[in-house]
Amino acid sequence: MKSLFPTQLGRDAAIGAVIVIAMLAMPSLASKGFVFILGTLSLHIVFGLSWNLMFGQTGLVSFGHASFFAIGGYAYALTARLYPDLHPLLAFSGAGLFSAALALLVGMVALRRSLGVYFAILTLALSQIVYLVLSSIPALGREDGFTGIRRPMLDLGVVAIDLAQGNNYYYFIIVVSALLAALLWWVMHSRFGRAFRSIQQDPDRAAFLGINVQANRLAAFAIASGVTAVAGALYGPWLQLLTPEVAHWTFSARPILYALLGGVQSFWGPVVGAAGFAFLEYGTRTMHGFSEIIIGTILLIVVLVFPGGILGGLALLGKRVGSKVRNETRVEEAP
Amino acid sequence: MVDFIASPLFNGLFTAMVVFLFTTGLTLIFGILRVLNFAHGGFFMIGAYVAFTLVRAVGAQTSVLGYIGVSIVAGIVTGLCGIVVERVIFRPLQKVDESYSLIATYALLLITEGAVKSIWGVSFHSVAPPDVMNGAVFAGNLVMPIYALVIIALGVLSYALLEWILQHTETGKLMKSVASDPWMAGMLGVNVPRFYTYLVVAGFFMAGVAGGLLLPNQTLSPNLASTFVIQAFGALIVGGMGNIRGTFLAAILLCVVDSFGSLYFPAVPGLLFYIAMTLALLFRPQGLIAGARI
Amino acid sequence: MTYDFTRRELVKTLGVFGAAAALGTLSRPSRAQGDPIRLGLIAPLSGSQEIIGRYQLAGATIAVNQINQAGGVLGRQIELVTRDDKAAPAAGVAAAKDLAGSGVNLMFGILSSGVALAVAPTLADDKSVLVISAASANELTHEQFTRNLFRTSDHAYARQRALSKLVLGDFPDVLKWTAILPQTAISASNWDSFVDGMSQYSAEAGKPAEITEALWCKFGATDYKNEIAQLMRSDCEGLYCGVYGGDAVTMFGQAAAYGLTKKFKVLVDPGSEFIIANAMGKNTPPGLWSGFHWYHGAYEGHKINDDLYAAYVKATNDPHPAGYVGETHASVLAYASAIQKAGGTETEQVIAALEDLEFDSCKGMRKIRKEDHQAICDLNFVQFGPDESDQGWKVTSHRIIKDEGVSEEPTPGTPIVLKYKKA
Repeated sequence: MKSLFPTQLGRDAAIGAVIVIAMLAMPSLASKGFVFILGTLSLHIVFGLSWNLMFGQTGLVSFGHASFFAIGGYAYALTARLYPDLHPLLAFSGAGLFSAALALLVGMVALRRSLGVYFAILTLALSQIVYLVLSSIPALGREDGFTGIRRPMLDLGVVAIDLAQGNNYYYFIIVVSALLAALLWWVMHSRFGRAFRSIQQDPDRAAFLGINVQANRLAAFAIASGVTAVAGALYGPWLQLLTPEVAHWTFSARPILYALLGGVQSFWGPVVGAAGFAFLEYGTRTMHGFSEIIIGTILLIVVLVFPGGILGGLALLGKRVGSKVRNETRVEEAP
Repeated sequence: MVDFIASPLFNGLFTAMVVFLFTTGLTLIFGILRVLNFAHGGFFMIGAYVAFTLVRAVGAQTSVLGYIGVSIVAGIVTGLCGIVVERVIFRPLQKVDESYSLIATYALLLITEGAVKSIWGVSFHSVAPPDVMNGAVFAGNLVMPIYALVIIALGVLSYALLEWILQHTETGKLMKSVASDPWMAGMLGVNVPRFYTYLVVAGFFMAGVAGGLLLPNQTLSPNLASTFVIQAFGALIVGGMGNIRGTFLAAILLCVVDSFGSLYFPAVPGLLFYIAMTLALLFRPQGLIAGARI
Repeated sequence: MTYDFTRRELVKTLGVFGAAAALGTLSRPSRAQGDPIRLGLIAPLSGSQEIIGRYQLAGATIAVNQINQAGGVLGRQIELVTRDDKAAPAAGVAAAKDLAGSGVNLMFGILSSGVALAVAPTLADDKSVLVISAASANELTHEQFTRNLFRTSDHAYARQRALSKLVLGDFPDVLKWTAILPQTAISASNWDSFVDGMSQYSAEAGKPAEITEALWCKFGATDYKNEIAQLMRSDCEGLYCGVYGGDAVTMFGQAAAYGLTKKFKVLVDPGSEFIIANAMGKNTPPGLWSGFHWYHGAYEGHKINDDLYAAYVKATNDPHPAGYVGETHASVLAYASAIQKAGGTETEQVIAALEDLEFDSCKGMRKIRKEDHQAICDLNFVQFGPDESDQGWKVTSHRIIKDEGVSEEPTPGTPIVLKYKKA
């Protein structure tokens, strides 16, 4: 391992490439139902990764991350309905930018006033407002949802791809998700990321060292919200429907679950967590009446046995085995 | 006047006391252990089901004494669950980040829902208040159901009792000292781990009692677990760092505002609760009662 | 990766649902006669609507077993494959895709209109057929019409108009109506349909009804006192209680102290069926008329009805099958007769056979309209009241309304047009 990938970038790029290639190969290997679950999973992974940009990097806990997923989704669906000729890439990125701008506004007020569990509950309250408002607007289909969201035609100048055909939209989701994940990776490992981490470790010391704690947290919040919104925008045409459930607090709990289950210290934590959770759900889907107990028990065991998440636990095991890989990997023991 | 002020005020107060009764145990555990217990609603629900089973066993809810007694038995059952939860989940997770106990209690919530389904099934049930609490007091146009008056009285009473314990008894002083500095309390000879066990049991006991007391208020089903969770978190955090007085005031503030909201802004029911919550957190970011723990 | 629901799994699952004993004696699907015909049931088998999913599973299981005991269809046995939609759109689409991916092209079930609306547009791509057994949104046979979707159960427009016809017949002088509704699209659609029928039938009788603006409340609310207080001030005589299921139980429980049920002369409910009475026992609101998918008591003497009822009671020991039991049962019967008629199970064959299909079911003959794929069938209603028995309530009356001019003309692809708009 060590000699093969001397840098973090090399190692993570290799892991990412393997995952993306495996995902792209799936439609020819697995059934439609499984492919649908994988497409949904890749959006959930982006959802989890972006949440962990806030938590794992700057220590910010949001209980309302789903509201930006929903805002992105509805913004895209509405734009696509009102301006059917708009280029889909513009519509998707527009939904992301709109949500990032919204997050910037909210964050400017909210982050100044509150932190920690207060910020968490504040985001929870805001997301409940989004949920209730989405459920009550007739033009957005109320709680029955926004129906008839089409998969668009993607005109790339040289070639036009009809995303409604076959598995094209699935490939599109995988590629865009990979790009979003790469963007998040880049943010974490850039100067931003270093500032973020010093804030997470000790905000007072970071401030003393001249890092603008406020601005950095705000940036993390806006980037995470924008990225999540793009995932939400992609989700609408995938399901061909959006319901206010995507703004509900139980959906906001998902990225938290993914990140903590997988391990917040590693970039790959939310990926492992989301995949693990999807695997659990898929595995228990015919165990009618028992799924809650099985999922709950497995979650509980994982948390009790690996309090640093799955990756944190594995890293700990790896360390115990006695090798000195510690310097190379960022996967650290949980605090 | 009555229709548009007194009636929503009364109904808001009632909901506030419902939320407060639900939240007391949550507040206690959050105030001292710093664990936001997602599974609280699950044990509230188990309390309600235990009370329901007892009520069915004797036929119907008849006397006030029976109503209180059944609720206390429900509390004892959930309190016993608390011992196990403390040993198996809270104590091992005390050493790691708080966030992990969040996920553990979420898992526990799923387990309680599954357990309730396999023990009691998925049917809806409903229990009427004891006969003496049926009916209402009419003051002009204002209708005050007797059961609602009882719940308001119970809410205020439990608040007064908890406040008295915290402020005027040795136990209360001990709780405060452990809450503010467990390490120092340990140095001074307090058996902190055992204290935590008692505390969790007390918190779970309150969840069960609330389940029993509020049983006649709403339908019993496995969905009950997550019914009050968000409102409870709101009251808890708007109140302050999990202190009882703050929770009490916050519950009243949020629920009364929401009650007026349902009358004046019927298009989006429930919206005003969260708007009030947002504003409260923005203007009093440390909570209504800042600084004080429990 | 696929996991099929074999008979052993089915018995195991139904054992959880308290039905194992009755199913233990059933014949084993014989594979010697060729591959079994696989039908996919999509129902909420976990989550907040699990209570209804269990009824849907029971009805489907009974139908499949009855058909298999009688020799199957085209000499082949039927195998039931089940998937959980959790009453959530995303899980529903995943379930439908999962079924299509494992070669099950014929599906049925679906309780929630949201799930049905999400699954509908995916059917054509996956070359699947879906027969809706409960979801009642009008949109499914109108603006969201797709030729791969059929509905063998009644839809909101027909049921709520039939309800208005019933109460106008019984209480011709109760003309002032209002409603309490949760903030959901299906509730709004139910109420609009009821108002449409109420306005039409009362005008035809020469005494037009007066409709007062409905009162909206939160779906899943725990407190209805403000709404109840407002209703107590209303001068209406008829109350349309759109709050349903567990919420209705909460609301009626809280309303008892106010005397709400005494204030209104007539109380109707769009479709809580046995839920309110079962939960409330002797506190059941007297005189409440409830819409039913199927009420077994109304069809005594009809063999399909009696056999289904007997099989259900034997399997579950529950004497009160909800209408959902009958609706999934009917969907399986519809598939059986369509497959028989078509001579095969290919998607296009089955679609052609289902169009214009007339088949007998637990509530008598149903006819699927060729144009919009909506079944025209009886509409069932039951009136409840408290009594002194152990269960604390009884059925005080029941009624069948024939669909003669109750349903709209088929207009697939375009929204339903209400003849009478609310004032």
